[in-house]
Amino acid sequence: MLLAFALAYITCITLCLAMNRHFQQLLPNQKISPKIAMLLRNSGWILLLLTIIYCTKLVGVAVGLVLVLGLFSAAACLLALLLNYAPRVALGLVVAAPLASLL
Amino acid sequence: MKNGFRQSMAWVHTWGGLSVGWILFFVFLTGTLGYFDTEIDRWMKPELPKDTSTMEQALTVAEARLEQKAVGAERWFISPPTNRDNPNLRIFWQMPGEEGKRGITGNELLDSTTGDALSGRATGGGQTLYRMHYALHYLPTDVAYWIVGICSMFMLVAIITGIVIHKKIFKDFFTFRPQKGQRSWLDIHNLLSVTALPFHFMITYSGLIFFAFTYMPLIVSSSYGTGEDAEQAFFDELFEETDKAERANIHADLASLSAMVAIAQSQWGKDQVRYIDIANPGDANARVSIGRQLDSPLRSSPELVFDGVSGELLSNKAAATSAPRTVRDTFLGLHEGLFANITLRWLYFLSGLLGTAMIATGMILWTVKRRPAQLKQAKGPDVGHRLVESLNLGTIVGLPIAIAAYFWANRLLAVDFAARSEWEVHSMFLVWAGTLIYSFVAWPVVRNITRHWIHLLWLAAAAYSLLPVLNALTTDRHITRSLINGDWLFAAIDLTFLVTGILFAFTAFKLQHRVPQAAPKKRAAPAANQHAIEPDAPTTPQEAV
Amino acid sequence: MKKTLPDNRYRWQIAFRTLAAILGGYALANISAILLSYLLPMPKSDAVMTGILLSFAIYTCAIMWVFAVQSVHKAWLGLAIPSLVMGAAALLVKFTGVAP
Repeated sequence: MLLAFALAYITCITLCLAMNRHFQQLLPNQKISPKIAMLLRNSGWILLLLTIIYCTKLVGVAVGLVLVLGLFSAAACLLALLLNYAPRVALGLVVAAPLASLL
Repeated sequence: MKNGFRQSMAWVHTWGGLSVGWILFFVFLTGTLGYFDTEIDRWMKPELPKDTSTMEQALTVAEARLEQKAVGAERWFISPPTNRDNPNLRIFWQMPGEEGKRGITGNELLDSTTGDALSGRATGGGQTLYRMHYALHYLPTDVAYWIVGICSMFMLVAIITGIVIHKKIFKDFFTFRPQKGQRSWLDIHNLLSVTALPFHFMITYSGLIFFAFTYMPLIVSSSYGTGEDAEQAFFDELFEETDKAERANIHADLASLSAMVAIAQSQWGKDQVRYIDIANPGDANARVSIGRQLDSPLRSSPELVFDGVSGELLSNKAAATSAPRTVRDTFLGLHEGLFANITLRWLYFLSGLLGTAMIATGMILWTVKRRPAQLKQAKGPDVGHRLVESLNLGTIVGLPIAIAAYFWANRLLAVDFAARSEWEVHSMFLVWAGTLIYSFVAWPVVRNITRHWIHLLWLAAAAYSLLPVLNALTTDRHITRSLINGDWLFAAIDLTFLVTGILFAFTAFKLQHRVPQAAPKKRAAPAANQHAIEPDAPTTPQEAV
Repeated sequence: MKKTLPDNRYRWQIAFRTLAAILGGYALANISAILLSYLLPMPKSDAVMTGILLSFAIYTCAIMWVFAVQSVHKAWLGLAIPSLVMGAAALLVKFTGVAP
């Protein structure tokens, strides 16, 4: 379950990084090239698909879809707050969340 | 209406949302708590033991008790303690009624090891809170259903118009810019709305479907005619309840229930039996239906039907049938979330809070947007504006305080006080009335409204963070013991109270340190120097977490 | 609803529109759902259920439409004409025996 959340969160942050404004918030000292932005955006959509597949594998299609929606609500809200108040934590979670799910 | 579609829709969104926002806030908050209704029930009856019996024990105890209480009943219903909805063994019975009337019913919680009836203190529990979100309180149910229905319709329109007027749903998906006054409030309102949009839509539309037969009776009667019989004919056809066994009025002993349960368990697996429903017990035409745990949003669960006398398996009813019925069942199942395990249940709870906060931020946005202009008026803010400011404060912070009072009353009212469950609810509404009165005292001073927000927020912080303390003082289930014993239900509820308290305190603290304290004490200050006080409108979301 | 309208007229406009949205929209939603429940090729109870499920969506669209059009007259007419036409169709279907 935690891995599912980690996946949803990483999906959100990838899509977020593809947007100039949020990229600046997370990595203020770096510039994003259109090419990288495109790459991030596409990976984001692929990750989204993976999250959906993982959740439906985990608990079945019907409940899995409900789970995906719930996880994304939580992940997106968390990320939107972290972007402003703790951008480093936002980046740190990318590593921490999957690690925590392995424990 | 206005020039342009979007502007018109913005108008509908703003005013439609505002006009019923306070009721919607009440409905959303109490409904959200409903996702933990049985857990709250448990917390509010701390005397009840944790049930650790086996299915076999539970069935024996239940049957013995029903034999004793309800011989010749039309129906027995046993809910074994196998899932979250029934932490303790529950039995229900219904006696035959006279000439089409519903017979006398009764229900009891049982200790499935000793067979004694469990009572615990009288309390409304989580069920009363949960019931409020569709039946309100102090009102005839029909009136309440209509009020909630009309408000839900406003909500549905607000959701759709909200999508229409949001210019950049994807681009602003993660956008929240704090400390920018009105802009921040719009951001947070959008964030809360968009990130949980499917939930908001589902919960509203399915809420309407729950009482659709009440709201749209003409559609049924245009095909089936009017009157109760016609309605019943429709339900029988729709839900296919035609195979009801008629009473034979010949005595016959009930076959072994545990043998039937064993068959069900061998088909579905252990712990999968949700209920045992016995029609005409003790009669030659007894039927036993065994229902499976809900594990998908589909509301109706598969059932095995047995002949109650021979114990023979008669039919294996699948969950749902036709497409429209499946759609309805799925909507209702999603709304109730009975299938949700603990993770999903917390996500449901969170989504509900996001919805509640969405309504709150929408209402606050309305005042923040208009406050500067209102304060500049020579005669002071309009009556309408003041009304909204006061109702917002008295509801958005007042209602959570009132709900805390409900829990306080549960621990403080004498355990043997006869009307205690009524007075739990009275305490809640009295406190809410109190906070509303307090915010109407703030009526003439819209300029200083933030101060009043801070006061009530601190009160809410105290009310929630002291609840675990109160629990420790009045019961033997204090938080350290719950944690040591691994009683996660009690520990989690205490911790949730504590976290809620801390969040309220945090919000109050933030607000306090942003407001210039040098607000002049003049009541209706001259129009000139007023907007110096305003820009520091609250910017922290009250319940966004 | 332009700012140039005098206060009173503006208020009446709002009142008429709101009334049209709530009552007229309700009527339209019911009538179209009834007609739908007569015409859908499925068992009677399922057709009625489908009508009920859709009625809230129709209601929502009607409400939005009432507030979207330029004039109050147009809003009322836009509700009344389809309601009458569909109502007549429903009666026709009912009494010619095509539907139950």
